[in-house]
Amino acid sequence: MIACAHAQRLLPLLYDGELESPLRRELSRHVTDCSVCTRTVALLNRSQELLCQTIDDHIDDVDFSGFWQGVEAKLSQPPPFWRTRVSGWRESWLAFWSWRTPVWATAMAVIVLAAVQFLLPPSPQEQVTKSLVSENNQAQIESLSTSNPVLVWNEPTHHATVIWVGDESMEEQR
Amino acid sequence: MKSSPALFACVFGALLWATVVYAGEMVELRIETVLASNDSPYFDTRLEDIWRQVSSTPYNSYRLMQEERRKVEWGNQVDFSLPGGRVLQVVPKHFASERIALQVMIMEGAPPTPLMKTALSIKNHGTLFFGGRRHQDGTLIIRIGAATDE
Repeated sequence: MIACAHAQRLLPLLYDGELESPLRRELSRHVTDCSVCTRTVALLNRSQELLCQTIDDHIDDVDFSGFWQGVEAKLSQPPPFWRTRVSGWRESWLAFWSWRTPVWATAMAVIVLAAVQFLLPPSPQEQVTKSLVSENNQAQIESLSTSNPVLVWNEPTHHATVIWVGDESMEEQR
Repeated sequence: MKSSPALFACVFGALLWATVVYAGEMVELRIETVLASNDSPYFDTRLEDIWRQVSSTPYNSYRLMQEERRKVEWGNQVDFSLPGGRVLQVVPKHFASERIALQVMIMEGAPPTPLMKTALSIKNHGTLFFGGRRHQDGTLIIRIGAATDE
């Protein structure tokens, strides 16, 4: 069973006859039962009709009388000298780069930086240090000063350090 | 004057590199303040990730009172306001061997006077707990987390 959202995406292909038989049959069956898809097909039909009608209406206004003479004249011209061709190619290349330069330059810079950042492997010493410290979640206390009673312990699951700064009542309890 | 792609690449590369380096020199501090008490059992759902850590303390009610994150540069002091007019001062000192060195001071009273001062280091993306100060009918537990991309 084909979903309507999926069918909507396939309808233009169905209309152009570009679907394989099993899918075409399934989609046609869906269109028969689905009012939304039936309307979409009707719209496609109408668009096609309007397009054909517009072309038919204006085809007579186009003047093709000198068309083949123009093609023949173009073909009979001698090929341009190689230097002319190279300079033409160079001008078109420069015109292409003049406004795209910042875009290309940014892209190149991003790619190079990303490569430097992510492709360089960490040094072996760095890897060893990382593996050692990953298991040590405890705080390393260099100094601690307070006039109140203090308890320090590591909580049992992640070994995170807890510093408990109590008050006078804690002292009395101890 | 025609500008070459190489020049643009250099300028953009330098700017991008500077941005990356500057961002890497920041450290993110995360402060969460929890009010633990022995009122009717309650556990704030926002504390799920630290439940196992705070459950080692002898309370049956845990409420998240405030949470704050700040990105700071190394060596700069940051003040966090805590409940009860207390102030938590944190200075991220440096980063070495995957550990972040911090200087932490808790101040309380009016005017605020130092209650506790410590210099320590925790693992990058690690946490540390301070607790014990009475507040309302409970006790404050403060979790300090620090992380850097260096």
